[in-house]
Amino acid sequence: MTWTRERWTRIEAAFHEVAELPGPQRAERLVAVCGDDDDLRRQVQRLLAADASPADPLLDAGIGTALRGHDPLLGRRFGAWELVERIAEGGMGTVYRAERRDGDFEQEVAVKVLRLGLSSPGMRDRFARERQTLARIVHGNVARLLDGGTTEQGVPFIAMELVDGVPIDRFCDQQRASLRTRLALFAAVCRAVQFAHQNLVAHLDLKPANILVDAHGVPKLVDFGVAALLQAVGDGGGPGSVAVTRSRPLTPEYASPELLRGEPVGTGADVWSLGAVLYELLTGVRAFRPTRSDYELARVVSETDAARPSDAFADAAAAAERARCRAASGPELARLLRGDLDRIVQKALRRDVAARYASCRDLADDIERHLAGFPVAAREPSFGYRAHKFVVRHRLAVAAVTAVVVALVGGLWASLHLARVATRERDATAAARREAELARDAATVERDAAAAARAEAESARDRAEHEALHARVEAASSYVVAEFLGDTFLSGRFLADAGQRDAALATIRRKAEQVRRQHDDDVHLRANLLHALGRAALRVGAAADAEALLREAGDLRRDHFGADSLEYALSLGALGQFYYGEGRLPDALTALREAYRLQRECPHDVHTDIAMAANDLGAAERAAGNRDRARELHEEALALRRASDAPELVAESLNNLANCEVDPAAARRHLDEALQLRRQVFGADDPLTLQSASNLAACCLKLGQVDAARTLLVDVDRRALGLGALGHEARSAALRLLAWIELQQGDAAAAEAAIGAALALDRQRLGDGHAQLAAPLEIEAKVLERQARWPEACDRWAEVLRLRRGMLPADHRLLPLTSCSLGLARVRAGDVTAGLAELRAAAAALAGGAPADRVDAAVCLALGEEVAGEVEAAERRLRAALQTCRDEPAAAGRRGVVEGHLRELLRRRSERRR
Amino acid sequence: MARRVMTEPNRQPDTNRQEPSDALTIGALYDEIRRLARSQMRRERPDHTLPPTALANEAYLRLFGSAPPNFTSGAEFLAAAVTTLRRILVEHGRRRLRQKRGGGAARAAIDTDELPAAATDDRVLALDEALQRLAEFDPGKARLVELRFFGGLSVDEAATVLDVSPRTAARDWRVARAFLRNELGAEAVGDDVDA
Repeated sequence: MTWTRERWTRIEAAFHEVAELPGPQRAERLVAVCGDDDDLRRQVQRLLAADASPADPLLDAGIGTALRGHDPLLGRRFGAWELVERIAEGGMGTVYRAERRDGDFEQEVAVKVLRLGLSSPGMRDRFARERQTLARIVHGNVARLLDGGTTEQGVPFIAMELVDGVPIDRFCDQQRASLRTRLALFAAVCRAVQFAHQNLVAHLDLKPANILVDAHGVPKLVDFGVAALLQAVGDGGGPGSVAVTRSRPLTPEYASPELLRGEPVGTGADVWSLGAVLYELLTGVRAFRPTRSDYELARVVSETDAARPSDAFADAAAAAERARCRAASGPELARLLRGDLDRIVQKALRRDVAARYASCRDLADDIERHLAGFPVAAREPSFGYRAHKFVVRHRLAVAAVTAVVVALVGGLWASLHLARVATRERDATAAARREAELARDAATVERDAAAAARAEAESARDRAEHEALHARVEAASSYVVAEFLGDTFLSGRFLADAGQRDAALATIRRKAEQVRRQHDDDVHLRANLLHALGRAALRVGAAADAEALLREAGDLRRDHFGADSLEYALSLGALGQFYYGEGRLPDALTALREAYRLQRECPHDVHTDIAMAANDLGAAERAAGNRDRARELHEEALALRRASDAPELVAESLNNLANCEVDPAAARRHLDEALQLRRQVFGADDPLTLQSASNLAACCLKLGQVDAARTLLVDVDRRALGLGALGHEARSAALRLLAWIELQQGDAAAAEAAIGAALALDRQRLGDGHAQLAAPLEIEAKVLERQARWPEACDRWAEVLRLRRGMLPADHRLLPLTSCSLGLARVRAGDVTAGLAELRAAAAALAGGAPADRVDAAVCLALGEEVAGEVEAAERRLRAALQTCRDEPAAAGRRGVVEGHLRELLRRRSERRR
Repeated sequence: MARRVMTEPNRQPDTNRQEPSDALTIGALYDEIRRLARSQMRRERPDHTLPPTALANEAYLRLFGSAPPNFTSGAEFLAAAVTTLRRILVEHGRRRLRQKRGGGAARAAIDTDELPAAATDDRVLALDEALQRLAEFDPGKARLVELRFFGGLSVDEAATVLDVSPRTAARDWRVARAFLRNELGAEAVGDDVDA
């Protein structure tokens, strides 16, 4: 059929209009669309019928099926070898089984016909040289290179020892091999790779399909050096041995981050791939799942850690088949993997090459140590371990603070975890060596950051639409690098005394100057480094310097990337955290709300960043009393974090969400889960785990489970004491709650001792005047009231009020409510006039507020009036409050309290009359 | 119009293959196109220039006797490579059909000279002709079909090469496929067997 363009356009439009509808509606629409154009209707009907007809194998599959069924190479000779059978198709070529045809003896080999044209004599030479290098590797576990050459057409091929085996993962599953068997087999593989490395050949394409196990159970590595060979020949340069640069890994799912990023790689890339293979052998699942694109995979691999192998058996039902292949149950396997094996795999899969096993021999050694029951090297905290911990740590600083249930919170940047690193480092005997190491690492990091930023600048120049996203994500990762730089050169050592702090601050200032001078043409890098220095300043307690540096970095990012960029959002987030930590809540809210808005509205899919923005804003909103908004934000953060499989962050969100729950039973569920997660991730003695236990205890109190709460808190107190300065925050939280329990149970002396100890710890930790002191001070005031020590109670309430005025908005309900407490204490302390004035002002401020708050204010004022002798007024006020309790459901809960006060008032009045 | 030939593919071993070097080039070029299409999809930089590989260069040189033009983009190279492959296949098919028919229709059924892909030769030629007709009134869709059929590209890959949205490409493919099924099917009904 042939039509004019106009006619075809018509037919096509009609076709689409009808074809999009479900079957039954088509006929009617067809008539409507075609009107009286019968020919049009017929044409469209024919197309519709063809559209519905069964698939045409040739048309739908394309010519490839026909071509693939036909391999013209079979039967042809490559050198002395005749190709007999096609075995496999790979990224680098096709593998055939081939037989020797020119001699007296029969020999079977694998011939790999490479997908590479060798058109110039130079390329042929390089190919020949590479082959000679590979031919040197003679090892029982490596398939040997036997021959190689090029056909007349210039098609290169290599002949290798033919391994009649199956891929190692399939072999192990077929044999139902136990973990021990798998580990022993794998260790032999590591030794073989090590041997090749010593001969200056890297594999660069290690994966189960390239590790075959023959009928005798002997593993053989195939394709050794072929990746490097292809690269060296194809790119026309470089030795094809240990260090090569590849533009594209052959098998992305097993490729190391540096290989995926196209950076120069060395033997460390093979260590990574072995780690990925080991992960799969142990668990039956991939360490990193295939993604839609190499780019996405590179991002995932560069920014996330593989899950722990033991987690792969968490879901026993889903893991049943994989467990059966390992001759054990899921829970057994999870137990066997937890600990050493988790650590060994994770150490092989460190994103930073320097943090990985230095060689395949080290990896093999560790596996064999584990098999023999000795402690493994992977347990030692390496630089990479600390580097990884840093990223987690700076998130945990947020968790440490938002976790406090009983009171308003602050002090976002408590340096607990940093101090812990410091303690460990002090303990280390080889302190000097470590310092040298740190200096070297810091230099490496700095160089990497500079290189990353340069690469970024290049890529930013030509930004196509979806490349903008790429650049942004890169910016985010170089942000992490820069942050790390700040953390590294501080590394806790400077915090020991004031002199060292001053020295650190001087270093920071000098570095900032240097950054402004040296990177003045590269705004992006300058901003990242200044930002990192700002964070460093925060660590040494130089708030003014920190704020100035963070703002400078933020301004640079805003001017360079725009006020609606993700880069600026990151700065706003950090500034918001800073303000929050400083107790400057209004500033914190402004910054964090904007950061959150940008994270939500800018198109990107870095869910961890969105979750972080939601979490931090949630903490601030809650501190500002916007509990419902806070809950929404924490629910959002929790959902995102659950999806990204980060237990420590999930625990943080659970804690924060619990703080926002009105229903204590719901809060308790969150807190139970959080505590369980933290015990798993951090152990029972970690400050964060203790924080969770305290929170759970507070929740138990609300539910009236006093004994459960007390048990938890006594345990927290004991464990926190063992942590020294690191346990101060957890200990003070526990003591505060214990004080509250004692107070409720009438033991004022015990309560006073507990809250006194808590306050001492808090003052030491936070300094006088910190917003976070309000909560323990309030409890102390109540303890003093219980003992009728009114003037002291007045002092405490006044301090609480002052602190709250500093952190809450002027119209916040908590301010007049605190005034009520202060006013009443003043009246009772004898300062009746001032006290009553304070009470009246507070009651007036609450007049339009929530019924429950109005009732509370009325009770305080009535009690004050009674002391002042205005008993009738007090009685009227209490009766009015009682009526409010009856009328307003929101105040119904106060009814019993008001009735009690009224009864007491009447009793006292009749006593006085008598 | 091309005839539909109802010969079964002959399973006898072929001892006298035609033009092995061309055949090698076709298979390798096809694989190369697939590889390029995949990498084209994965590129972070849409404007990145894909250097034609040595293999593709050589194929071009041998097929056309001249150095390949300097392509400015991977997509352009891909499109040219697919067109090249189409021409080779069509030429190949024509030549073989000529040989087969040279001995008369009776010989065709026992032709030992037949390559395994020959059973599809006539269909390839029929499709080529149908595509030429489609190109007369809708060259864009003809390009799409060419990429899909001769290049083995997925709809999404073809969309990348043609620089249209995957949704548009999917719609276009649907209607173009209906057209072609109709064209090829009509022949089967109308012309039946030629043996």
